[in-house]
Amino acid sequence: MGQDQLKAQQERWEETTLKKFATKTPERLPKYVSASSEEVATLYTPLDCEEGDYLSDEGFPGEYPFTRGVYPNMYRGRLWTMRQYAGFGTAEQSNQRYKYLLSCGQTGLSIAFDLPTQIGYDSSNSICEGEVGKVGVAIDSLYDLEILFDGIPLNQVSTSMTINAPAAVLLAMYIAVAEKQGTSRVELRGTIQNDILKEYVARGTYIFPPKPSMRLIVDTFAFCAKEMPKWNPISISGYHIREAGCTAIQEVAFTLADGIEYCKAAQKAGMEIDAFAPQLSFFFNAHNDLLEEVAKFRAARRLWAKIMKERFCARDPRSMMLRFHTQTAGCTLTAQQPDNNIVRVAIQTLAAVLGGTQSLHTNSRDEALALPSQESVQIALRTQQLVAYESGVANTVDPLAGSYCVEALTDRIEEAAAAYIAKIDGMGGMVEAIEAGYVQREIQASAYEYQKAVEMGERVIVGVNKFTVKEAPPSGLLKVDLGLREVQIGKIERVKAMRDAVQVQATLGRVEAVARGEENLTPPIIEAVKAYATLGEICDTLRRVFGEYQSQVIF
Amino acid sequence: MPSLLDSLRDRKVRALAQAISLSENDPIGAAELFSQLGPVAPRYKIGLTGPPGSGKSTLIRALLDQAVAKGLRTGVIAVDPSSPFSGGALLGDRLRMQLPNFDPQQVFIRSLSSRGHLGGLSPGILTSLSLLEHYGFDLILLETVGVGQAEIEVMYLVDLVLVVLVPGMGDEIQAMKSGLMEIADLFLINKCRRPGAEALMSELLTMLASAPRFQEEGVWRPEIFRTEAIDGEGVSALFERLFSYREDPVLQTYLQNKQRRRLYYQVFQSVLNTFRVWTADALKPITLNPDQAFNAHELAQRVIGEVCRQERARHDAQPLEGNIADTLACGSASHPDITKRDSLPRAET
Amino acid sequence: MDKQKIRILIAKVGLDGHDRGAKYISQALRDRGYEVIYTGIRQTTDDVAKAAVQEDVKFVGLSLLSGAHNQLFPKVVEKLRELGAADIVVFGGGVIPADDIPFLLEHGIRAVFTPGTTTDQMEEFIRTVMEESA
Repeated sequence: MGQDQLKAQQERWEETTLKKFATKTPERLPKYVSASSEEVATLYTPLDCEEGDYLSDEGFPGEYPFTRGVYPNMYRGRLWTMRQYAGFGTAEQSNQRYKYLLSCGQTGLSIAFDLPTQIGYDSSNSICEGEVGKVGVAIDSLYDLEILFDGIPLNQVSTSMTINAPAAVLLAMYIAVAEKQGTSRVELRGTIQNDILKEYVARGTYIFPPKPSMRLIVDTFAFCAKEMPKWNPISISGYHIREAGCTAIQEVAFTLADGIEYCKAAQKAGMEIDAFAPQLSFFFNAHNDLLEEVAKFRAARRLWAKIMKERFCARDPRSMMLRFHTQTAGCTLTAQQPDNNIVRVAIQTLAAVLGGTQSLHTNSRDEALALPSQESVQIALRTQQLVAYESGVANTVDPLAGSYCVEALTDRIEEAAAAYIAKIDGMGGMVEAIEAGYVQREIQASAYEYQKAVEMGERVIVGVNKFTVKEAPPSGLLKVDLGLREVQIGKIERVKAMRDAVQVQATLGRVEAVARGEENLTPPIIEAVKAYATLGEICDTLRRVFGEYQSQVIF
Repeated sequence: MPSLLDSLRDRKVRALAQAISLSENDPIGAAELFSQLGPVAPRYKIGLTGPPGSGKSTLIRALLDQAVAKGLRTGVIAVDPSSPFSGGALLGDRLRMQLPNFDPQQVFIRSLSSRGHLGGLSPGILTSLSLLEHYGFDLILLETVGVGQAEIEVMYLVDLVLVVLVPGMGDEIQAMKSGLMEIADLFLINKCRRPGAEALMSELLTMLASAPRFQEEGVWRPEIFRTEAIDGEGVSALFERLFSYREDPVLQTYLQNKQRRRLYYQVFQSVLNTFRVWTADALKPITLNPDQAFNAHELAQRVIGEVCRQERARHDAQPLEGNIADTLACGSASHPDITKRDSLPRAET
Repeated sequence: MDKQKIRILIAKVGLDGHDRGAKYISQALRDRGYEVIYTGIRQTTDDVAKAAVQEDVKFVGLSLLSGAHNQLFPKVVEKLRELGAADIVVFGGGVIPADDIPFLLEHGIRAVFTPGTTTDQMEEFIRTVMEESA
């Protein structure tokens, strides 16, 4: 059947069958939109994906443009890494939680640090009052990281660390702990998030201005390319941008635009694209709208492959592969009827798996209320295991490919994201776009529209603005001990009493000297860490040289 | 509880903040109340204006840095437009200006909304500025958004207007050329390390060279400064220049002339504002009948007559002392000329 | 109630950078006619109190998602009192467990808004407070 014939038939169907039916049963809403407020059609047919060609647009998994997946047999070869983000309180407490998660069948670690650690302050700094150990584990010096990984062989796990501004320092500490365990840095597998650009627009744990921050990042690229072949020196993150309220299209666009900026910076520093691009990894959000989300992951893979090949002239296919971690959308969790969140997370898990993720964190039902309890964490992990072993969706590669709807959405997201990227290019790149407030304003506008629609009841959130019940406030939530800051201060004092002060000063002096020059900063940071210089001391040294980012408010 | 006036005399920060609110909410009432504070010595006031995103707030922060280091107490008023739909406002500039852990006696920052007034400035702004003067700040900064005909008012409120521009906005400068020339005493090319700074500079130079009034001898001609407010580049040079009037007779004369014009304008505005309220009050009880023949001019004359009669009665009851010429005279003991002071006050030790 | 004359400071104390909620409420209140001053992230309790006094606000809304609310919220109340501004009404929002709410109310926080609060509810609170103080 030719396209023209199909088109005629579809018009006939709309005019007769559909119209007749709709007189009795009209559509419930004047307009149907996705979670990203994109309009969704009543029906998708081959007419909606008529352009292009299967081999060049979808192709085969493991081959350019990787729309169908980065590996040829996907989850039949190896399931995604089930990696629950965890960490709270002291290193001792978090160490216990990691051992528990590993015993439950989790296959990788994901370290959550507290805010003082993420912003490069020692717990003793007065600005940290109330924050020590709250949203993650408190790390002040190598001593804490030694405790954190005590009894966990680092040659056997892969570890992801959500650390950005001081990523180089935590990487250095990880290397130091591994070497003490007798594992060389060459063997280490894992990721540091190390994505500063999204901190400026969405997450807020920046320290230094963009320029020196980019330099620190490029230094870790160069260091890992040379010394840590199995390590991902960055996880370019759209997750937090989406959490800040952007749409699926913006998530793809801004994340890949960040990726482009890092590639440009590394190239400018003299690196060959294929020397570092295979080690770049990504991090996306899995939101509620199942079909849109699956299309988003596929579109991101295809667009990145094209960018790497056409724009950066990469030759190594591994440079073109968009490998990504996924986390289910924290912003969709509700404090009302928290058990409903289990179902939301299950749908989001399906989206991530049908979208071909390489690793996944599933949120716990109680995260809109407090830190997750052990029981909730177990349900979250079990959700992944159910999808992996019982649902059957992991048995074949990219099972939603060829769905008229999913293919049409994939095309649309790719096209719209490419248009955003072109606009950002026109502004001079992502750093300039951020400095001009463009990205923040775009995110802000989407977030505001979304929330307004929820308040107006145009967007239904079950248990929040529809199907509500009166419920007793939940109890038995996990609480972090308030005396933690004192515990950490005590540890810092002990470390300072034990270490060789002269050596600390010498290594910090070296960090400062290299920061002022152009050599790679990672090696002197490793030396400082090994001398038990604290995180705050190292970051303060860098603050003196680089200055601090002046935050801004943009509406 | 001490009265607001007493607290103001005691230089309580809270009282100052509340007095400014009162000026915003009830300009006439506030003007009348605070006139009891007596005449005030004018303080050095600098206006910063320019399009959104030009870095005015960051520049204020850099100027505050300089001022604090030199021991100058500084008051800042930042005016942002209100929402044309709701009348509300979202004022977010404070973050960019505020120094961490600032001393509230040394630095006072107040965000105001234009509350729907075209021109971006509300009637209360005059009183608010004079409250800052009463409070004794050494330097007062006024930030307003936008440049154009509507913003001309700012030049009557401050001693010097800095127009802040950024590279890459040549078209916009062309569009607002006349407005710019009217109000700018100094131009700042902020974000000066960006490409296009040179082009902007030559554009401004051409513009200045083509204006006949700047070509005469002894006339103040707007100077152009380059700054990168985010790291303070060029800001200390700017700051020194602002306070160099003692060494620069052209600038000194210019400031004196401006001050005279400004005082005239303030009285003029104050009279207008007062009449606006009186007129509204006088019209309130009158019901106009659309069916009747109507002469607006004649009615206006009657309203003026009525207003004047009432005010006359009030003045007879409480006569003002002295004559108007003395009160208005510029440079008298109660209105010392700011340019007669030490150009840059020394840090207090 | 002349909303334009009601000034509200929305502040993020502590170190967390999640400002989606704080920005939303700032915009929503602006769109309902209030004058809102938004401070941005990472403000110290001290600076928030000083800003509240200088801006002469009637309300201070604190947003925090890191869990440090029990330490930081009462601090703002305390600082306002020190500055002679105990009449400024402080409310809070964010990820705040129900168990903590009584503690916060006892320490001078007038209301705590948890996720899912609508702008209507917040306006209702503002109205009630304004009527009380009228």
